[in-house]
Amino acid sequence: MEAVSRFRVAEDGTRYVIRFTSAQRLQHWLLLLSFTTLGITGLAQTFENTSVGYAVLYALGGIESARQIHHIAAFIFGVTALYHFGISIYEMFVYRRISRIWPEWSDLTNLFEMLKLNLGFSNRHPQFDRFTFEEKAEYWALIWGTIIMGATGLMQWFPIQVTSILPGWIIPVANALHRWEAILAVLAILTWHFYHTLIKTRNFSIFNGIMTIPQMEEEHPLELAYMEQAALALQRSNRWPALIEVEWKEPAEETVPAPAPEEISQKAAEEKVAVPAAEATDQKAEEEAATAVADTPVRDVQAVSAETKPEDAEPNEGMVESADKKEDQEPASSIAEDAFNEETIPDAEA
Amino acid sequence: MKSRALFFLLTVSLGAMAFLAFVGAQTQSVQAQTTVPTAEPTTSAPTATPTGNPHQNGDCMACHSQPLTVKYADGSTDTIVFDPKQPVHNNFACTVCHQDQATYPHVDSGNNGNCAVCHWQVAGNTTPPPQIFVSTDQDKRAMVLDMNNTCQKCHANEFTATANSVHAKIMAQGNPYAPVCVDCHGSHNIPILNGSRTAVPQICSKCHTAEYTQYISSVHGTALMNQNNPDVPTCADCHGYHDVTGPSDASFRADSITVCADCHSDKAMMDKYGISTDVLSTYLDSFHGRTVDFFRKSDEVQVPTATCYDCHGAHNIRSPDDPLSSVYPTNLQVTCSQCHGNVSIRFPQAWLGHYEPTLQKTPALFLVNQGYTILVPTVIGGFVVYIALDARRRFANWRRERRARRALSEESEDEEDEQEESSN
Repeated sequence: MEAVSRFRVAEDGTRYVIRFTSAQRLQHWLLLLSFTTLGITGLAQTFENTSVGYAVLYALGGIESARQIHHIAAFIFGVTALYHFGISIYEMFVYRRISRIWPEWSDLTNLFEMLKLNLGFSNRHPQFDRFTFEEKAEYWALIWGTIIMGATGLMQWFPIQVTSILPGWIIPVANALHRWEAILAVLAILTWHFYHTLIKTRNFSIFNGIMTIPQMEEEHPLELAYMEQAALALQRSNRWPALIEVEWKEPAEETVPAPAPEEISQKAAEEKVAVPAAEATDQKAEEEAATAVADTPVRDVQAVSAETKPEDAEPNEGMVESADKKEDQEPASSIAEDAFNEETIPDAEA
Repeated sequence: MKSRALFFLLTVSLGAMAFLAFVGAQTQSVQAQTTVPTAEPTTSAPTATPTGNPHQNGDCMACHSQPLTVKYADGSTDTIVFDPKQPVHNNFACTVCHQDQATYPHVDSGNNGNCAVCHWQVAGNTTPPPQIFVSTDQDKRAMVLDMNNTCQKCHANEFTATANSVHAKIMAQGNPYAPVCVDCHGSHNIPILNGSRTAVPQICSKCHTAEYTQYISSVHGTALMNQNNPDVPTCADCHGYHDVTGPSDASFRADSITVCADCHSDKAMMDKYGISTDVLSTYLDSFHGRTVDFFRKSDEVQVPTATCYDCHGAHNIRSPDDPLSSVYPTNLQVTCSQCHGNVSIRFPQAWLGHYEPTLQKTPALFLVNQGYTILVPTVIGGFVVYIALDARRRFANWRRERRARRALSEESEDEEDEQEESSN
């Protein structure tokens, strides 16, 4: 999604961030259920000669029944993977947006910084962007695992068809790869994934889709900073308010002509912002203003969208950020500097 | 046949005794011993002059060394003759097994003690009557089956074992010619079979001729017949001696893998022939083996997957180097097609053989195994190390913060206490 549009305000006025779209959350649910099923049925078949494996197979109704369940779960897993692959290709080449999940050099430096921090050689906690290197590792391990498991699984499922083209020895090799990769994947999930999502933090954004601002500050501060700069830039740009998404709060009953930015912020400040004066710092007031501005109900988007570039009006998958981030950054930085300058803060009533 | 005639003769003898007793009573003098008529008998009448009273001390040979005709209840007749020179099981006396014929006339003789059949001259006949002894058994086989039960007296274990065999099942389904003890072991001359394993296939071949023909040309059969090789299995080594099992038994198919493995996992035995002992472990490591193993442990019905004999043959097992073997590389396509339908020539190559993977023979598989044996512990180990460090730091931070919070709250409590004191 467009960075700015991921800010939301709850009913009690606290801000939060949309981290995952519902499509992404559905994908994760499907992955979760199918991966668990695949792991149980698959490992039970591999370790059939152990008492635990035998007990599991017996409980599932026999080894043939376990194979059928395995195939059904594999089909679900495969469909989800294909959908994900398709949508990623679409966004890469049609929307021309590079996902933040691709590894960067900063991930390597972050890794070393974290190691230094954890070993006690440093006090500096690296600042993470949308995806930490830990999350990227998890994602790319999943991609690697899915490719291997899918390919080798299909080879074993249809050995006659495969051997009509490929040499026969590839089947036992596929079997070995499948078994080993299964062990690696299951252990990786049980250790790496569960630690980072359930033990290190109780981050359930993959289920409810949202992260609170304190969570964002803790785990993805660079992304939060970018989002807020983008929001501010948007507020001050002449494209405002064209980029408002339909999903936002219901429009106000009266339709008003597009007000000037200052008027918007004032109006928003009157209606929305309810921050106690004692706690409001300059930055915070500005953040509130930016969000309040962003949430201001405006008239129908469709009428306005004709003026906008098509690509900007399209809602897109949350993992993809704007490729013209660099565009925004340059004016944003100068405006950001202004933003921190007291004189140029809009006249908010906070 | 023999026992029926014996029974008949016993009855006849008793009848003759009664007659003579009656006669003797008439003459007011009963001789101490009754003499046997010494007239020249016909060929089917007893000729021997027994010592003492044949009727009382059971000199069966007086009658049974000569051919005697027995007529069964269904009308069939049979000639019985016992060669007294042949060895008898354990040199037993006849009546040890033929207990019903221990007295005369024989108990189940249909002649009802008509002594005149043998003692025709005493009875006043000028010509011997037809020497046909009527049996109460339906036919000869019925008589054999009835007699067969005497084996149980001494061989109870084996007798009980045969009751569980597939042969007993066939008998119970109504086939009286299913083999019983005497069919394999003989009835009078019972050789000890332990020393002669070559006899076993020949005995089984009485009924199972097709399997015998295959077995004789197989690698096991030729070694047995030509060299009396003690390592190769006979019919009974795979199918059992008394509790015989066959493919019609549900557990036979699944258990067959252990039957083969008993010898083919024995290193001492297999080293003599240069045969791999990894056969069972590599088989159990495969799709087929895992399925069969699961079915075997859960006592399931017929297993729908390949066991040893599905590929190697059951009776016509040949060495894999033999071009006629079903597992010879060029023959494998046909063997696999038995279950898998039309497969390409590459499909059988998916089975890399009963050998552990090596770098020379199966490089890809070997490298995958080796690679992952290193990769998995390295990656997971790396994960665990990172997690441990991270967790340690976070836990230490948490503890420090908790202490600081406690210290703060204590301070504020102290302050409150002070304030209270000062306000009091």
